[in-house]
Amino acid sequence: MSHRAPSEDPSLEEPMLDDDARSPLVGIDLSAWQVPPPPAELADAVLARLREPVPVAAAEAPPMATSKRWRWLGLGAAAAGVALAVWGYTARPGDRAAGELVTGAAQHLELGAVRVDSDPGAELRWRRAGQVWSARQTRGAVTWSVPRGETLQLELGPTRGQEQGMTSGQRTTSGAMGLWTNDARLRVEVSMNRTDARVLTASAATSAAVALATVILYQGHVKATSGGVTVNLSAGDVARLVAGQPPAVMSRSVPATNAVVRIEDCDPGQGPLELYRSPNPGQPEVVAVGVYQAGGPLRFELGEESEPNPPRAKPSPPIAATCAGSRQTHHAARAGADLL
Amino acid sequence: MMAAVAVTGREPLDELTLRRAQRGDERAWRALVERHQAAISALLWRLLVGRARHRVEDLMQETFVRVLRALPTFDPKGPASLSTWILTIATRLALSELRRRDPLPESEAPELACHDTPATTIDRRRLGEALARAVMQLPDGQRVVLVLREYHELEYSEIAELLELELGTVRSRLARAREAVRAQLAAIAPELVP
Repeated sequence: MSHRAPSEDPSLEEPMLDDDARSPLVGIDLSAWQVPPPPAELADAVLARLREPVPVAAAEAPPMATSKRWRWLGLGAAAAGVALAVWGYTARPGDRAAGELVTGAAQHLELGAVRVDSDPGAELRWRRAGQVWSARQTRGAVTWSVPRGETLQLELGPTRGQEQGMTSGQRTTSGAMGLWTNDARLRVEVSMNRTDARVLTASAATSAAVALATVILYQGHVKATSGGVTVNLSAGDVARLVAGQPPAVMSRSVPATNAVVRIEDCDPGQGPLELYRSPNPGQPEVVAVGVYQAGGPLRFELGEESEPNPPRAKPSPPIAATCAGSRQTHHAARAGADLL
Repeated sequence: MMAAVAVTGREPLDELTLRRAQRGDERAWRALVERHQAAISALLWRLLVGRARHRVEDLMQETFVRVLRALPTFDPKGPASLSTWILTIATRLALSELRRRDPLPESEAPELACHDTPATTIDRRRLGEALARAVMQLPDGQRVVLVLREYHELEYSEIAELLELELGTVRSRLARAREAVRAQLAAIAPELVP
């Protein structure tokens, strides 16, 4: 049985209980209407379908609630999206590389020479215009490999239209965030983070949500823009982009190791997760920042995996991870080890 | 209060399994489907009764495909429980289906509506069929409110949220639906109505 939250308005509670008590169906055994059980192979059929990538439009879960005004705006945005897609398919005859994807499982895509590895739950759309790949990473984590000669222009976070799909009680704050590169390998993690801010609407106080992106640059160079400010990132940089705020470069000293540190089941709800070296407990050196999303997993790649089975890095210096907001260490291990 | 109606699939999935499902773990996906499939099956059967029985299985699959694809975005601490969120997705698929279909001829409907077991008594079978027929006659807007409240025990506020209706509209639709069902039952099988 799901939880039953009591109504916040006591004046509404009693009439509704009365409605049930006075129901003309009281005393009638409604369970007499039996229906067939679900088919035995339902889970198999569902899992089989999930192993295939599908267009984003078919994978959207409906929002819990939107106002009629937002619905019209959403329709307008959808129409604009269709128009954009049509343009993308027709603007350059012979160059029809455009698409959308929501991944239920990890996926590998090749957009020409650009390689894309997405984590479960990532949402992407892209189109090609000449030598430039224009893409939007709405949510989730994706590793992009852009070889020299290709250009990626990546927008981050939901569009205005997509923001209308937020659940009731959430509103978003916008601000253009994006990346540009023509030679890089980077991991980009996008999420919507609730803030403590309270936004008064006509009907209720609701929590706000802001688009947050973490960029971990393994190779090459990237221009990162948010809040109207552009910074140049170089290999080893970890940057945090928040809608409406200038980029914050968190680290310029990612160690050159082959380590892949994997953290699972960190205490959720604590926002960004930091990975740091702590030769001195009073002055931890943050080497990576990730966005923790409802159960993770969260993967820090501290360097290039150059071989299928790369040798483990040297076991020094110690690496630890914390959830932001508390300096309590939840997991600790040395570089090269899996933090589980 | 409401009549006693078995509600299945509303026990929350344990937190660890939910986290694994959000990470794409197929065993956890399977556990989630198996936990909620009975409730979703019952919901779709009752919403589509007399209209699109042949679409129930397809819509069950579609519901869970959408649920699992969108699961990484589900916030366990958000306003909706997982079961309500899944019911929302299934309900909206069913309403979309209903908008595309006309009612079946009445003569075809009764045998589509009710599933008996060997232990079903004659009176109970008659009541079940009468209930199915009565619900079948309801406008879609009343039918969905009645099914969500009486068979899935959603709160009025949850139904309002799910259907994007005012609370007062939910109450009035439910009241009209209950009156209509009772009137239908009284006409079909008066001896079964207290």
